[in-house]
Amino acid sequence: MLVIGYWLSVSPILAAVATPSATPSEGNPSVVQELRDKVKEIVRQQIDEIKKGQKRAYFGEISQITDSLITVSVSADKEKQIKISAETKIINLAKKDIKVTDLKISDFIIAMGNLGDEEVLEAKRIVVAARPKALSRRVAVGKVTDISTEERILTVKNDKKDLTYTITIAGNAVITKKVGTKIQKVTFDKIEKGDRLVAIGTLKENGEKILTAKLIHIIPGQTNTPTASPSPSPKPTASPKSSPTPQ
Amino acid sequence: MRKELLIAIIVGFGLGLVIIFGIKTANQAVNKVAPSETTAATETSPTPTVSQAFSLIVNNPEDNAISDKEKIEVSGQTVAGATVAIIFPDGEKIIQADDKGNFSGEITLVGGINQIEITAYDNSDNEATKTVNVVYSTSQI
Repeated sequence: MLVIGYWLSVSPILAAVATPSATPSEGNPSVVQELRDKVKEIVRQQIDEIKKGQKRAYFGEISQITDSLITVSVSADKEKQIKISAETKIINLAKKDIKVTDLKISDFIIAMGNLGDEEVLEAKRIVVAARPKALSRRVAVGKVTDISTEERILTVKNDKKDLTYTITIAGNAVITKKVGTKIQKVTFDKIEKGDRLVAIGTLKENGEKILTAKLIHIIPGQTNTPTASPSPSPKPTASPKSSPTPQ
Repeated sequence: MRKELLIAIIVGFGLGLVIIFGIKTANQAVNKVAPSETTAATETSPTPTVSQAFSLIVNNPEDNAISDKEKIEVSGQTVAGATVAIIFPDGEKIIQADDKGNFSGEITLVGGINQIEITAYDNSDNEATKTVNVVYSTSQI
């Protein structure tokens, strides 16, 4: 009877204690998300605080102008705000001082100053400038599958992207390779089939990708192993020649 | 005597029911704990794959920075031994990350806006790209 009485009193308590531990918050995605958002917000505030007062430059096309604030489009979906004060110097394309009222919507400007609250730039100097040209050069990466020595043309295959590049080597192109711990300039004939390389140049696409390379780098450790072994062999042939010298 | 026997049977039956209820409740509680533990295990297991992802961090220059010097250092971290290609208005550079993944190289700026495109490649042709803009100006800001 005593045993039964003990069991009756303990079992509901065991059940009650076990049940709350079965629903910990770690399994609740909304609680986890809420925590993540809070951490993100704290980190963002800290970064804003660190950035405040730093020298920065915003550039882009003017989308809005008021007496004290300019909004520029820095990319297709991003805008930045620039605060103007009496101390802000504004210069036009002819490098002459102008007023805020002389600025127009769609003018391209470079604003320089210090970051304030909410990443608003407190401008010290605004320059009306020409739009910068986009970078036209591209990078090609892959394994050399064919070499035309006479025409100085390489065929390079990028397995990851399933792309084949035809790389023409410009006369003034620089070819480098890591030898030991140093990067050395090498000549075209040092490129071999099976080498992996990174090439930078101007890309034309007319059905195939043709890159006129200005800079080529052969990636270390990726060359064919047989190419390295023949080079030390000439050394022993030189040693017998030294024996006749004592005469 | 028969009355007492009947009462004893009823009381015993009742006690038996209470005991069965107690055991059942305890079992349910234990079973609830077990599945949540397995869920936690499956949720935590994918995290190592995230840390192994190919990454590129550019420490210098910061985006939208102003430089009063013509030559600046581009530096950052990626995977060990990765090849880093840097394209900037005045030229291009290819450098090699060290065995800790650190890389750095000097570039020359042009006056005004400099778009700098940094791309890292590992030996499996995985790539990661970051673009930063730097304004080169000798004016007093």
